[in-house]
Amino acid sequence: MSSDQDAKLISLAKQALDEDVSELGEDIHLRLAAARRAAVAEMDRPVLFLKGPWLTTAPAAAGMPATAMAATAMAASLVLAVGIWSMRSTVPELPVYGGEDAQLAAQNMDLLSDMEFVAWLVMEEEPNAG
Amino acid sequence: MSDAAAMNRFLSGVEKKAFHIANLAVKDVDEAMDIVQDSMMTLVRRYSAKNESEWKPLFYRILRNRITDFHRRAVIRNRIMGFFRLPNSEEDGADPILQAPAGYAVEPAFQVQMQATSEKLGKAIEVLPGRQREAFLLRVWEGLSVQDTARAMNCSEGSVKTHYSRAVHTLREVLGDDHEQ
Repeated sequence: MSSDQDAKLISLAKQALDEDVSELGEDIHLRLAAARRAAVAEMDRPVLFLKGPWLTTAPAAAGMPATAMAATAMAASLVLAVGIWSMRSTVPELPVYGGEDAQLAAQNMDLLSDMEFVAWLVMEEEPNAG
Repeated sequence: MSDAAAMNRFLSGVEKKAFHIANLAVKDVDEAMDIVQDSMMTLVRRYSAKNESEWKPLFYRILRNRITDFHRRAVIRNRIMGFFRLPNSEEDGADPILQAPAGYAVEPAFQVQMQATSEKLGKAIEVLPGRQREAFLLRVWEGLSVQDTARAMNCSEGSVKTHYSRAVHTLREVLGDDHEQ
């Protein structure tokens, strides 16, 4: 088949496709225009600093370069880590029993057991009292 | 010209063709509209900072990906529905996959039924296999170069040439004598 015939075929195909598009309804035109306007409106919104919806606006809007933003984030992380570490170091330590303290604690436990025993004894004797 | 104005001009230039291409691929006006709208949004959000000359292949690549996503979802939905559907149920006749045109196959009565050549060509383009139709529309209708078409279709330039050549061959056969007169 000659290139002339191919050219004719291509011309006919273009014509057919253009006719199809020209026959699109008014509703389609309106919906496409609305979709386009919505997409173009996205360009007027603040620029995304990094890809993804979770990081937006401020740094990029302020013209802060990516490296500066990364350094700031790193510094903030360090400050946070040091803060948490220092907070942990100021928490009073729990007492550690040993030596006399351990003996006292054991005695207290014995006393407590004795008190429970005495209380039980009293309860037992009360019904028999009369 | 501002970026927004340039983008508006670009999108208004491609939107109708993109819609028609999507509609040919998915055969559903609302789905095609969603695909075009999503493609516009993605282009603006991700690639508006790119050079304007790159927008067209990028836009058609996004469009193609959205169409592919649609077909994948349709296949999965069809499998799931097929799994739960009883045999010989009433819904069998309404299966969109079964109703879709069957790729290469051109009905024997097709040529007789079609009177106008342009209408015949339109139908022929519609029943081309997806990749062939894509290559043909991007090359012929959108006027993309082989290189940009390959970029849009995410394939090699050789593949574009092959798909395009096969599409032209099929259309020649469909048109038959009408074309050679």
